[in-house]
Amino acid sequence: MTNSILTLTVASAIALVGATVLDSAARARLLAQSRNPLTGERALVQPAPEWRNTSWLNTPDAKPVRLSSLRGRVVLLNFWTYTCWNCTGALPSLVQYDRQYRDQGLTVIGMHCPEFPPYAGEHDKANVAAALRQYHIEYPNAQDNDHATWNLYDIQYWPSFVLIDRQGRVRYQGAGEFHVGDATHLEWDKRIRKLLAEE
Amino acid sequence: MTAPARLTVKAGRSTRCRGWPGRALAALAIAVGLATACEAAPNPYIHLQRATSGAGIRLELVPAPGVRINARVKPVLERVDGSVLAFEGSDETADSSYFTGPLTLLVGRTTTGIVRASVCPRGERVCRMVEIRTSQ
Repeated sequence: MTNSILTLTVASAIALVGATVLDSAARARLLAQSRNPLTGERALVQPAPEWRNTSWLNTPDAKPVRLSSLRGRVVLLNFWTYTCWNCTGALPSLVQYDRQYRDQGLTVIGMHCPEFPPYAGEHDKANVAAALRQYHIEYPNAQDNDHATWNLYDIQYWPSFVLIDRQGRVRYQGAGEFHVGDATHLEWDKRIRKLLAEE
Repeated sequence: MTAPARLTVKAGRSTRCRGWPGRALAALAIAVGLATACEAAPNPYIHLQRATSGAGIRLELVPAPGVRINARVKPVLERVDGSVLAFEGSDETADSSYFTGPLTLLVGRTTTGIVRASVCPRGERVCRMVEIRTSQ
């Protein structure tokens, strides 16, 4: 009986410590989540990882586009989903960048990353295709249904953006809706032109 | 030299048998501790309220001040039996993009599962996926 009480006391102490540690970890995670992502925007120089998405839209014969095949071009990656208003709000800016800078060496790539499980329809290629038509998107889009590329680039929010230079290096990463002509649109525009000007 | 060794073995078996209730209690204590830890951290974006009535269990999803819930894909309760039930709300932004007030869901039986919602705090210009585990 004494042993049982002793065991229970020790176990309770362990449980209490475990609960405290887990609670602290959960709070830290929530705190990190609740950070304003706009202040977390960062300029970086690091090799951009290769994505492996197999389902593509707006490419010849729906063939995959590989990052390695885009060496020498500036790449703007957009992580989005058509069910997210903040994402679709930024699409006119991306369409404008594509039309304005494609011939100068910019490739815009959409990474369609569902928020909800498949029952919501975001995983369906036909729904993504309809969204591309609705928003007049002509640049390539990949389905990232398993969030593999999302995780590869350590993305946290919808929408997010990654700007890759001609050498295949991540130079800028940020998140948040913006609109044609606003300050954030002009900032990304400036960054694109800067990287296009580099050799 | 042999006898004490035998006694030790017997004592070991006996102690192991007596220790079972204690271990069971210990496991229970750890489980309770872990459950407490998981429920201790409130979600900063939404919280879930529950009320039981004759009609069943009424879940209410309440956004924190300044938090909007995406109305393009309604929040859902994914129950452990595989069924998916959508919350309904009436307070929306003028363009019907977001829910700005509580959403409700009447559930006839168990609510055990996961509540999912796409939340978009005003001023941040991003959306996040929020998941809340429910029980009962």
